[in-house]
Amino acid sequence: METVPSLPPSPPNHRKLIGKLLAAVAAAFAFGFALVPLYDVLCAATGFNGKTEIKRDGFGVGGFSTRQDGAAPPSRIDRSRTVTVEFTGTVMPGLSWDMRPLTFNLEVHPGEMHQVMYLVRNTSDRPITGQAVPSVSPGKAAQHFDKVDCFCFSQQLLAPGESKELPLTFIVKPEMDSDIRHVTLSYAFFNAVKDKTALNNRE
Amino acid sequence: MSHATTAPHETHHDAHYPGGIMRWLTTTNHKDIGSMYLTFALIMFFVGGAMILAVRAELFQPGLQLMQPEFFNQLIGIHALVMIFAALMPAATGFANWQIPLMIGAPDMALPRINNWGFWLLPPAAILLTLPFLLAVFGIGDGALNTGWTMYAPLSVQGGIGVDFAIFSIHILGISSILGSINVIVTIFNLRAPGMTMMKLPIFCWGWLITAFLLIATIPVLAGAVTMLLTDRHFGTHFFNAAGGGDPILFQHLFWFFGHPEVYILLLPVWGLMPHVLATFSRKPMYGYKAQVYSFIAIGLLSVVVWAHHFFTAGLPVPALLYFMYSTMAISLPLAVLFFCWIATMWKGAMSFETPMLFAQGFIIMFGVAGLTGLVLADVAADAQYHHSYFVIAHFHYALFAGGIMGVMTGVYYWLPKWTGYMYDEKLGKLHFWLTVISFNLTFMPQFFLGLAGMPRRIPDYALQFTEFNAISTVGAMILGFSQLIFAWNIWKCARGHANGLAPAEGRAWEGATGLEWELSSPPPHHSWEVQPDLRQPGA
Amino acid sequence: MSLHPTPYAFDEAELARRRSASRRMAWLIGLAAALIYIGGFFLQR
Repeated sequence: METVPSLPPSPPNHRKLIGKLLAAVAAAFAFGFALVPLYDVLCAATGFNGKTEIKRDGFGVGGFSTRQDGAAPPSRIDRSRTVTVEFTGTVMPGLSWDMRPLTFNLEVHPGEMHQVMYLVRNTSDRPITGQAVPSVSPGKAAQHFDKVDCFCFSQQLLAPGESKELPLTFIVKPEMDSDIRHVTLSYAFFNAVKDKTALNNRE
Repeated sequence: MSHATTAPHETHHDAHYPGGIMRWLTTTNHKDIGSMYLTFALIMFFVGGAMILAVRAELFQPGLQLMQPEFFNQLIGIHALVMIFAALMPAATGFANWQIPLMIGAPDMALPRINNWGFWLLPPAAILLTLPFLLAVFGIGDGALNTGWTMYAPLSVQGGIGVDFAIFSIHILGISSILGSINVIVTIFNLRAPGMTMMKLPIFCWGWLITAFLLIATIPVLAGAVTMLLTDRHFGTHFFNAAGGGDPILFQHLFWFFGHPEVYILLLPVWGLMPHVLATFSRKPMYGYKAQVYSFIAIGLLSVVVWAHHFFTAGLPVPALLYFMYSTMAISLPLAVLFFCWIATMWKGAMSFETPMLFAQGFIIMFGVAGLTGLVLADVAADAQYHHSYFVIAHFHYALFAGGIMGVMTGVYYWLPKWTGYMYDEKLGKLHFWLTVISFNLTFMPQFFLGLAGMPRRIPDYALQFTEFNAISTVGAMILGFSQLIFAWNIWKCARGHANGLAPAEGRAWEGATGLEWELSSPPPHHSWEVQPDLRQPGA
Repeated sequence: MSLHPTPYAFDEAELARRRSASRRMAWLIGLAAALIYIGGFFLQR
């Protein structure tokens, strides 16, 4: 193919511009991955999406444990209002369990500590490890829903056919907006086996 | 024809090209590549159309007549991916290849070999996307992508091999789009004729420039999202798996961070060509060039900060809902500027209604319907009802068929005489327009009402009260689909204009047309502008 | 941006006729839109 005299040879400013544009492509690709941690930070900071990771600010039974002598702090229970907490749960595909809360709802004063139970049963003929993932709605309440102790903090192993009552201890903190009258705590129970075949064999 | 245009060795150059298939495999000529892009887009338009005609046939009556739900799910998802990535986007890239060098006075695109590679990535990608259909026939795998084109996790994490094929296809399509974008940007920045400042750039090139930047900003994010999907599926990561600490909603954020700008990626080239057509057939200069350019830029910037309006119902907190609602509605302002500029261009014009002008009119009215119903969907309170209903389907087909595909048809009829050197058959063109516009509305207008009445999208069977409107919609879709054969026939006839006895087109194929591309002969010489026109001396 | 004046196929009389026709049509469409808008206020739900 002959070269046409007026066809300009690839000038250096082509290369410079291409370099910049490729850098922009790389930056956009990196940005996509950077969104993963950014999204988690945003959710944790604001309670978006019902994530319940909250700041451990020393709030305990009855109030903040600010006293050095270990005596019980003054009560911070807000008896002027009640909040209805609803409990629910779903067993996700790939986990042969039954699950239901033994308490469906509870009226609490903010600041009180309560314990409720979930009943789970392994319906299969082999031992299965499950992991519960909590979600609180509305999202605004998630930041103030303090799970003191929860079965979702660790994986649960159930023998074939075994039933177990799993405890949850929680405090709805008094800082929660007073316009929130209902809080729903929902658990999704997943098969904790880190094996993709478990997910693929969902049927 | 014009003075500076006739290439001295015009016929002489062709002799140096290999013949047959090798000519097309190895070509670096922007016109050849543009033609290949457009041909590929037309073929895939019929492939995607055939899929959705099967879907509409199934939806003609309630109950399952023709296919199982699994196959139905595959058809709707692949239809969308084929139409967006393999029909509309390549058609727009074909326009860019053909027109940008002609319009800015360049001899060719800046990166001809990249250009060739960018095109030849497309056929393998299209094959990857549709191959699982065929594999399933032979008992391999369970068919194509069955999650809908949005590939939401966790469904797509659990899906069959079709998901993997779609992921790789999207990777390849993405690389092709990015190569095309880089080529367009470099061409426009570096190869403009002397004296053509950015504010004298033809507005089609401005539309494409914004599209190219949006592609570079968002396609890599999609590539990242589907890569995460791939590693979640096969390499034990937990980006979208809640059991492992991931979050399925994250996928929606990543997907729509790409997905919403994608709408403007598809539409900006059309908005760019529309003022040229309107000005030509109104025999007036286009109105508000600067206002339109600034609107393009504003829409481009806004488009990347509104994505969450696609999943208002996913459980977003109220402040986020309000932000995404208001920012989405804000896009209607620059868009309204465009609409008024289009109308003002025609105001008091000496209008004539050749096929491209008819399509342009149809575009303005029906794209207006898309915009107004989009405002309804942008309202958080209303969206709770309309989300995932047929209202959404009708809305985005008014945007992407009437706005996107009919816009592309406008461009094809407008530039076909320039490309082929022959005037297309005006009677066939007008017939094609009227059949298209009537059957299009017959197909999609009932779907607004189906959606308002509560019919959800992506279902192969539906409640009995939706029967009549679905039947109407199916009849419309069949007419719409088969009318497009007229389009293909008209293009074929025009491309072989000599054999069909069509009138040769002049360089300035339309009497009201202005711009550098009309200064060249029709079809243009092999190397478009061997001597760049000098716009520094007007009238030279 | 035209490099030389375009020869029109329509003569001046035809161009003028089309200009006034398009202006008339625009006013008609505008009027129809305004009527629909005003009519909306009288719709009872």
